[in-house]
Amino acid sequence: MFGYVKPFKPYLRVYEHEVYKAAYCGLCRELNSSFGFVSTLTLSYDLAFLALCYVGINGDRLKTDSCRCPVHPVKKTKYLRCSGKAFEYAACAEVILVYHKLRDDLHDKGLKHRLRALSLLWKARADYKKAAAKYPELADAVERAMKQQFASERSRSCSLDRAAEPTAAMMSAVFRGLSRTDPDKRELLGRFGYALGRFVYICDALDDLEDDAAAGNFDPLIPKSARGSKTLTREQKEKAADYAENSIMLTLGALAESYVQLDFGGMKPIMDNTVYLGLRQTFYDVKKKALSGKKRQTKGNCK
Amino acid sequence: MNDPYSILGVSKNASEAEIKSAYKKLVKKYHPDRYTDPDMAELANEKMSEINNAYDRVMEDKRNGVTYDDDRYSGGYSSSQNGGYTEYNTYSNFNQNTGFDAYRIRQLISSGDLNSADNMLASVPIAQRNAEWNYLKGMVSYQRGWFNEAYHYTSQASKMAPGNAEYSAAFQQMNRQRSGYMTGNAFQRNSPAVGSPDVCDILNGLCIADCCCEAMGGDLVPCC
Repeated sequence: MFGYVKPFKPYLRVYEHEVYKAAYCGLCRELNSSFGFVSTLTLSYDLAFLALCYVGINGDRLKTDSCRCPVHPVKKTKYLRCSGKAFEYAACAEVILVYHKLRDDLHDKGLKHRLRALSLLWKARADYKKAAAKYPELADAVERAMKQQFASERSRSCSLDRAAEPTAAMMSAVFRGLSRTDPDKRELLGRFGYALGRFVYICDALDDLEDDAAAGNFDPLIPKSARGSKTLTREQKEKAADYAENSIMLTLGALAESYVQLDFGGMKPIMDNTVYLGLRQTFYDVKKKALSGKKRQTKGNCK
Repeated sequence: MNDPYSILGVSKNASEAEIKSAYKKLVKKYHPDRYTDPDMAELANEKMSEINNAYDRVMEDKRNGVTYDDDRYSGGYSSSQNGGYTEYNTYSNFNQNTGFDAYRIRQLISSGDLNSADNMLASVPIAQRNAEWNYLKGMVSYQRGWFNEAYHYTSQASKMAPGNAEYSAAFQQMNRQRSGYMTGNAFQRNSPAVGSPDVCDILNGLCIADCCCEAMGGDLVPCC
């Protein structure tokens, strides 16, 4: 994932912030122990959100522990342990998503990305096989979504709705996996995940607007009048940003419709913050960056 | 890859409801909590992911049309779909004036069979696409998660039939979402009752003020 799903920090309570950080550390430990150190480098806060969703949906109990880790050698850091499989699931989802992201990069990114993808792919493939053995239905669903993505990228010109479909379907599968045995919850989670995936896709498309225009890649937000030209004028950028904002707001509205029907138990305050404030804030940051032309800083440290 | 329909134990032209009930039955049967023996629980767990996978694949098919080309059952599938689709003309609700059966389409949408609903809508000639057609198309798009298309069609519907309460309610709902409304958002103070006094508050205030005045020997509201 891309580091777009995170809470709005100023409104986060202090203990909630600690839980969030500890969940991140718990996930990092899980990745380290089951897939090795290299895989922890790809970790983002989005997956901590996924792990906390798992905890909330399944009503698992959490326990805090502390340890030293190589990234912060001086201070002991707190991390979470979970009575259920929250971290295992999130770690496997991470590995599966990263593998497909790398395969995607290999196809349609510049030389730098291709070389990076090529160097990491052998390791990612081994991890992927391990994770897919644990969660075959998730691996299968993500695989299908990727096939769809190749097809839609080849067609190049399609509406935003269609372009967002593969990412959204992928996230829908990831969130459906949070509940294994409750059909009704699975359906709701699927819809929640779909809207979240759509949000992520639109944010990413707006974030890459200028790069895509310069490289001639397909981006559904580029106005029709600007297709084919290398640079975007100020008006064209504003038009794209407005279009993105309208789509994002519609998406978030629909996201909330399915969100309120789900029971996140003790995790609700954190989820509320992320869903109602964090997502919107992330989008405004992306929009600001897209209009000013500066790189957004937070993307780098999460991914 | 196994045929998802045979895993669920339904025929390829089974209805949504049949598939859903078969799926729910299987989920109950293989629920891992029912098995205390760890080997059996492990087996049930595996079965569970197989069932979930099969169900997801069937539902994705219903949503998108056939998405994967497995020779073993793609032939039978497409023919069954066409069969089900041409059959709708014989339904009694078919409306000769509009050229489509809105009731049937609504049923399909609520059961989640979006692809069939969309096919039925697509077969309506452009000249006959009235407000209801636009509304239904919008609902299909909304269920799919294609919110931009949904917004477009819903706005068309409410433009073509301005008096229709159903269409304008849907359009208003989408407009609210578009301007940033999110259900259940405790951080957003957008309900008019919060902060500003309503009639009840004002009457209460008058009552109390009257009581205070009377205690001091005066009178604010002479009638009580």
